[in-house]
Amino acid sequence: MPITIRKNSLFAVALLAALSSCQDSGKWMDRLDADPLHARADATRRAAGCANMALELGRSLPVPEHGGTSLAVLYYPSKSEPGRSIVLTPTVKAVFALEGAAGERCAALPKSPSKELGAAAPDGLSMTAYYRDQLAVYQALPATAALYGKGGTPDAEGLKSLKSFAASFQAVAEPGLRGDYYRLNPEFWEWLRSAAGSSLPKA
Amino acid sequence: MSREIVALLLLLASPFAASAATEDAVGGVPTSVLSGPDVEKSALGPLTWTVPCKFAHAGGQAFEGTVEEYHCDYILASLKDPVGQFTRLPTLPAQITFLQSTKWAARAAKEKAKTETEALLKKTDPKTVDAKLAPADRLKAFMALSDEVAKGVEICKPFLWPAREATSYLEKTHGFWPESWKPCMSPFYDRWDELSGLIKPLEKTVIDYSSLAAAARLRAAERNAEHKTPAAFPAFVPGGKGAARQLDKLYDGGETAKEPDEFADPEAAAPGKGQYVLAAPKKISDLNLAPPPIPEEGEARSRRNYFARGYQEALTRLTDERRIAYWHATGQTATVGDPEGRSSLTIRQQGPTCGVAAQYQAMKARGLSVTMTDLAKEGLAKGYYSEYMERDGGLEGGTPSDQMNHLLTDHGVRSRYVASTTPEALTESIRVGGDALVSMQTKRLWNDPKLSDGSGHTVYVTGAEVDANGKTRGFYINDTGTGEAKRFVPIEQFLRAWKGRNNTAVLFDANNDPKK
Repeated sequence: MPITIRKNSLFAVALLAALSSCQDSGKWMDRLDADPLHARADATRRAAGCANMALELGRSLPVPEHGGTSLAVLYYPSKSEPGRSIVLTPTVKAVFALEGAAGERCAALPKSPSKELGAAAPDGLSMTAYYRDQLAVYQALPATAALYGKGGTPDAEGLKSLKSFAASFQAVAEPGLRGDYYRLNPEFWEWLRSAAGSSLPKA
Repeated sequence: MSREIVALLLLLASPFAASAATEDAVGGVPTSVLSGPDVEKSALGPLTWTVPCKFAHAGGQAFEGTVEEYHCDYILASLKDPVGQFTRLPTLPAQITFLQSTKWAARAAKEKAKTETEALLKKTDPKTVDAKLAPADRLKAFMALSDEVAKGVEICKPFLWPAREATSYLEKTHGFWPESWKPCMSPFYDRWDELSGLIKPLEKTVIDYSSLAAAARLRAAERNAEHKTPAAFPAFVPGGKGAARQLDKLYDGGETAKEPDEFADPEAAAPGKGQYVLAAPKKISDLNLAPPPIPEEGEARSRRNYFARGYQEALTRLTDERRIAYWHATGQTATVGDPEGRSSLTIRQQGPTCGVAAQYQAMKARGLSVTMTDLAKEGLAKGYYSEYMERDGGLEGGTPSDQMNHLLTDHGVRSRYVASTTPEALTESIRVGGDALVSMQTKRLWNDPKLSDGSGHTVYVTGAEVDANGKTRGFYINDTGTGEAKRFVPIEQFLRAWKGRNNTAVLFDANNDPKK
């Protein structure tokens, strides 16, 4: 059946492309999972105070807390179906130390009316780009938080790190959560704006 | 001044209101957009608004003005508590002024929506797809157009009220789109129907092609078996003493396991003296051919719901199934569990009930007579499950990790919640108990760029594909989030999706029939 063979060849080409993309994103997932800061952020899900959290809740990217020695993440519900996911108002906040395991805490946020806040992932971002950019956020976070803690004007290398953090964060952060990210620590985002020239919009 | 009144005044001060006032002044348009009595001099009482679009004066007199449905839709979609705000306006003239100004805004929004609707319908016209394209490419193109039609919701947004209903067993809502959306959305509904009519037969064609490809590959394997030595048989199972017996012992009833005297080919050269090697089958009937890997069109195929996650993921699934057919035929793997039999247990969940739905399937598999509605209600009452409580806040939305099996326990099904476990333990649970539940990272499981990485999902694991060395090559799942049954998830992808939830699972032991 020559026609079948031709079609199957087309399938094979399409599939190879898909598999290649999948394998590529898999490598970035593995690298992200191996990042110690990412692992610590993930571990907050099991912290005291969060043990009873619904397993469906998504976790945000970390944002430096005041002082730059600890990071905060939000947990939020989302409505997901294939090809579409909407973030709802966050319900839990966890804080963990930038270094070491001390000071980890997790608690439900005060109850508030839940709203659909927007998309859970930026439009048009491939799986590979998503995991690559997310890894870049985690890799740039320690330097960013340290610079924020110190205050003042960063040197050229510090500026590069800050710009990398700002660009990666904005590329990969949940669009629906931007306001909540800002409200986690407005002082940090305004400092980033003044230091790196790029930040989240005020909320 | 109340916040509502301020909001109304802001609305009146909008560009639409300003242009209405100006045009009225110059006389370019009818001076009263609401044909009716001279409201300034009217002795009639203020208006009462009955949703969707009925107005009457206090005291019951009919309102002589004309307010069209799209006008009401616009106000209802634009304002929070529109009827309350309207009712609280202090005088009839204030109400009329409000209606006049919003009518202009509604008309402008309607014109804009009309232009954008025409553009989107033109863009998604199926005739734009080249009829000479191969079926797979046409399918891909039509599916892309169908996704594009979803932008109609954004176009119609100024007129869409109430919000699309949530899905909930408790509220008995199914996510339907409100009737009030029809006036604006009907051209898009029609386009979806049109595209759906083109997509369905093409999906069938693509699956049929894949099935043919699987058969062709098996025929090639048969030819290899007839004409070539086992050593040349591609990717054959690695030999080893007692491999088949070991399989038999490990996986009762596994199709791969054969006694050596039934299966050994004396002419096949064993790589080492005294070692038993799974020999190459001589003809297709000797192959360990499971039931057709890709079922004929019908209920079994429909349950698999290949295209639930889009075109590319469907191709991946079909290829996985062709690969499994080849593994079976060449004796490389055996299926542990009964993923085909349990595929009939899958459902499409409503609301964040994946954890409940996974337990539901495990109960049904053990012959319990339960319904999702009853289990969701029971879970909510006992604190094992929470809905998205959008109106009152305080939401959680789902099942707490450590309560993944509490409904099972309460219904007499013995199981073990394990905060972290291994794929081997999962396979063992399937072998002895028939199934398992796992918590996964949805984005990685669905390979879906539109999802965030953190969100989680529980799925029902119904089988494993295991090789002669006891190594699991992947698991079969029923996924109530997509409505896919018997989806094979290759081990690398499975582990990546599982790791994000710390390899959490609910495992079963033998003899866990709740009726005993």
